[in-house]
Amino acid sequence: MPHALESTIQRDYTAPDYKYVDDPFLIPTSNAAKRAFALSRESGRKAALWIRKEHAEWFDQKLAEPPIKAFTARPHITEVSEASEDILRNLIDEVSVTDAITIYEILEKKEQEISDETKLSFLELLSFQNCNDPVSEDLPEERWFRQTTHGKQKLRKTWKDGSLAEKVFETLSSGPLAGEAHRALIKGMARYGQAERAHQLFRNMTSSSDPKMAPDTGCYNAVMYLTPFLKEGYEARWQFMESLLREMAGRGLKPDLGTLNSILEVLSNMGSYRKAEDLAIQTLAEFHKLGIEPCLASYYYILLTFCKERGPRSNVLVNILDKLNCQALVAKDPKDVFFFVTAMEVCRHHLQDVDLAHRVHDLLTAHNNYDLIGDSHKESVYYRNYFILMCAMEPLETFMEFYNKLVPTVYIPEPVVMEEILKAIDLNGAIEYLPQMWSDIIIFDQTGRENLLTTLLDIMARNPVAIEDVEKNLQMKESYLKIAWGIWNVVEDEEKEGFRSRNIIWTGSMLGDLMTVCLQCGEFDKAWKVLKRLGADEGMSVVAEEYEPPPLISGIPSIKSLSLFMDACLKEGSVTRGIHPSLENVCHLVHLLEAQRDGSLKESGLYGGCGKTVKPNSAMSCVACVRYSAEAGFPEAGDLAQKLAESLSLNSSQMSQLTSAVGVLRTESPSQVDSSRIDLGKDSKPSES
Amino acid sequence: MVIIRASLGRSLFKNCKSAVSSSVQFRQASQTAEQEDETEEFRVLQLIPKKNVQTNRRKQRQMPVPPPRSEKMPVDQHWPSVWPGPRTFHPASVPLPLHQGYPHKKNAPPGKVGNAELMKIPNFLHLTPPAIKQQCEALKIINGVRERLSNRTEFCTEWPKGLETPEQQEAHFPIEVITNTYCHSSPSIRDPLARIVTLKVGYLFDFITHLDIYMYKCCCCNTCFLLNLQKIEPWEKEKGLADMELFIWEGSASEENLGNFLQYREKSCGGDKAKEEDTIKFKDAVTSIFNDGLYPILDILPRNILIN
Repeated sequence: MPHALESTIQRDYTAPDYKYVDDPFLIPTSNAAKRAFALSRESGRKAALWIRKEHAEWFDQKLAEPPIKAFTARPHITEVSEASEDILRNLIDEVSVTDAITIYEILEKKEQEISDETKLSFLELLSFQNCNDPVSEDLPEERWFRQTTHGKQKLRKTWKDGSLAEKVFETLSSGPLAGEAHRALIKGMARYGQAERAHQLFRNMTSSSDPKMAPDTGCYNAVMYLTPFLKEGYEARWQFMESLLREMAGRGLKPDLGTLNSILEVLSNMGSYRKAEDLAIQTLAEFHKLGIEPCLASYYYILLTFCKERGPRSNVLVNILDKLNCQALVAKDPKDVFFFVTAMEVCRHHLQDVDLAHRVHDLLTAHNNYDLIGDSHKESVYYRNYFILMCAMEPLETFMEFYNKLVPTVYIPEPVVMEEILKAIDLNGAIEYLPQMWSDIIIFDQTGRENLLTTLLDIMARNPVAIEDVEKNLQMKESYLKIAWGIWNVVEDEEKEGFRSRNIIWTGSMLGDLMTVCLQCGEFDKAWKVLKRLGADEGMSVVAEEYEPPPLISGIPSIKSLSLFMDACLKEGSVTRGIHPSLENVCHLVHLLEAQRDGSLKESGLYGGCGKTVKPNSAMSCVACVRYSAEAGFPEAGDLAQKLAESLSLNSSQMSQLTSAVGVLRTESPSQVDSSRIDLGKDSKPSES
Repeated sequence: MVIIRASLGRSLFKNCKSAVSSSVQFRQASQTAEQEDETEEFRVLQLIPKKNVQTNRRKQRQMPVPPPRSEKMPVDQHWPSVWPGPRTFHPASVPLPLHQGYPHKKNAPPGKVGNAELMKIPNFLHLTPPAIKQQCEALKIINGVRERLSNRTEFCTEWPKGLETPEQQEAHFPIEVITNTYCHSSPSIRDPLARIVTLKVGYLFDFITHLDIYMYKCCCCNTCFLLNLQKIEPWEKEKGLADMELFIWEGSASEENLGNFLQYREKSCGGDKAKEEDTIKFKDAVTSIFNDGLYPILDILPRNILIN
């Protein structure tokens, strides 16, 4: 009945994961927040568990009828606790390793007899866990967010030499259960990388004539798994494995899925061995004859073997997907969880095939297969590859459909992915997505990424808003402005209020683009602010108290932004009376540009001031900087000077200086003092600089 | 006491101030008359200390709050997936402009955000008609395939033939056993009300009287019925005429009276011996009057039998 009703509902992609509180204020929207929220929730659970452990004496009420074992407080095991074999057995069943060790030591001290069976199961526990407690099953978030590195992780030796496991083994090795003890210890040592001793014990077993000391399939699997440690050279490794397989056959032991996976794993680690691929195929075929079907871990090793970075292209993933064909998958091996990540990576890097990626995703979302995604790191890598592949291959509309479905509930893109998306938007000229991208960057808490801000400004500067519909045009321009000014605020506020320094430093190109956007959207005042920030105008006569010069800007804006500004400036100036103070700063800026190009910036010691109270007769300095710019050979300076001369009235000395700087300026002789008349000379010819 | 002019630099002043702050208050107490407030940085003695103005903490970063997800929901979404079960009203998840409550001063009724009225009442957003339809369809399905031919389903079988009318049902299944099970969201699975079992044997007599037997403390076990029925308590032997639930003809006063009457009639009037069947009819009639009530008897009463 419950499954019938459950089959009527699907996943709601607008809702956050069930573990988060469903409220706009409490839904995490960045990767750091997701992790923090989930782990903090779990820390509450941990605190509760700790309280119950510390103060077990207060949790004696039997509330549940019939009693629930998990809710009753377990007694605290210390060195003075009551100890008996039954208690030890219970603790082994519950997989509480440290408690079991304590009890065992108490029993040893008391010299109480422990039966061999109990000792064996104790040994098995210790070997499997390497004398560590596993992460509790009550703490799923901790398991989910454990940062295990993805993929080809070399097995390192972590086995604790001389630990209690080996001591228990000693006591059993002479008894009737010696064979079982050997097997348990070999498998444990293999799991944690203690190759030498495991192999030694294995040889003891094989060389002994006692039938009870015969190794089983699991032992053979374990030793095969350790082949890379034991033998150097690919040929030697394969010989060694073949000999082991022959031994198995000789003893009449049947291989199982573990054998298949061990063989495939060793083969996948043989980097450049040409025979590896053929051997892998042969192995699969033989095991198929035996009736052992490969599991996801086997397919993972196959992908590693065939789809190497610098190897030939292999379509083995297509065959694998055909075989699996959207069936319900079950976990059979711990390495099953690597399959999907690797598959998506192969789709992206090796094959560059989007349709195949969609098939992989369909397989993942079918039935309960999503359980096999592994942990949070693998999930994020999977989606990262998927998104970047789709971004590159699919048309932008299709991609944005996926984006809107999966973001931010299932996956939050990393800055790398956001950059790719922005590039795709640029390529397509699809500026209507930019406002959404900016708001997403804000809520993902990625405003500290300089590359994203630079890219965004660059795109906006190069793609001015030109929509036919007037209203939409205006709306888009407003959005553009919001984005640009938002970026301005992000960087400026940080410097002011000193939030944990994110090291975003303005560059000339960024500010240039920002200025361009402001001008294209008709916001002259904002552009003027940006210019002030850029430019360093020199020669401020009055320095206010407590004046802190803004830091220098590295790099220069493009001349396009400057000339755009000049045009807008002149237009502004023509509306208002007199010389707009900004004009002067343009000249200063041109001068500054020159100085920067010369590398003489430091010597000139320019520090910007705000041109609030610029006096109109600083036209002198205008001319001076134009002269400088001409000397330095900035070609466009001439045009600027030309424009300046044509549109504004300058006195004769200024004119002469300007002329000497730039060469001949073909203009009408302007009237002397009448600054209200600004006349774009109709007969002016372009100057020869 | 050192008074440092502001012109020397504020930071210097502040350092000195903190150094001598402890002594300032005491000295101020003694020298208030002489000291003048030279600058406003001079602290004023507060005999009843005022509450400290909260120092400006470093402004906490305001994380941007995204708009509620009702804005992002596509119009053609699958609503039962969004609201699968009964749930308190949650404005951010419901993409409807709902208003509820008393409108104050020519305002509209209050909106859905933070509306206690909407949250108090039960909502049936999980039972929209498409959801109900889908669930009914799901319940009819067997192993993913709908068996049209036999009309058999996973959860329901066909109604048995021959049991269509209530009379047929009563005829074949007269005994009705009623048990109740309870499910709580609590640690205990026990509920004392679950131990009451009702056994109904209905409609043996006419619809006015029907027999209910209540068995208490039966623990949902039908065999307990029989055992209890078979058990005879010692106090049951003390049952007298007044305790009888039914009228039983045998051994009653009516039987005695009839017997006397018939004997008298034989002896005195010389009438023929009463027929067996008449006696039985009389017995049935009297029993019926006492157990069923007066009216039905009028139909079956033969005319020539006197009622005692």
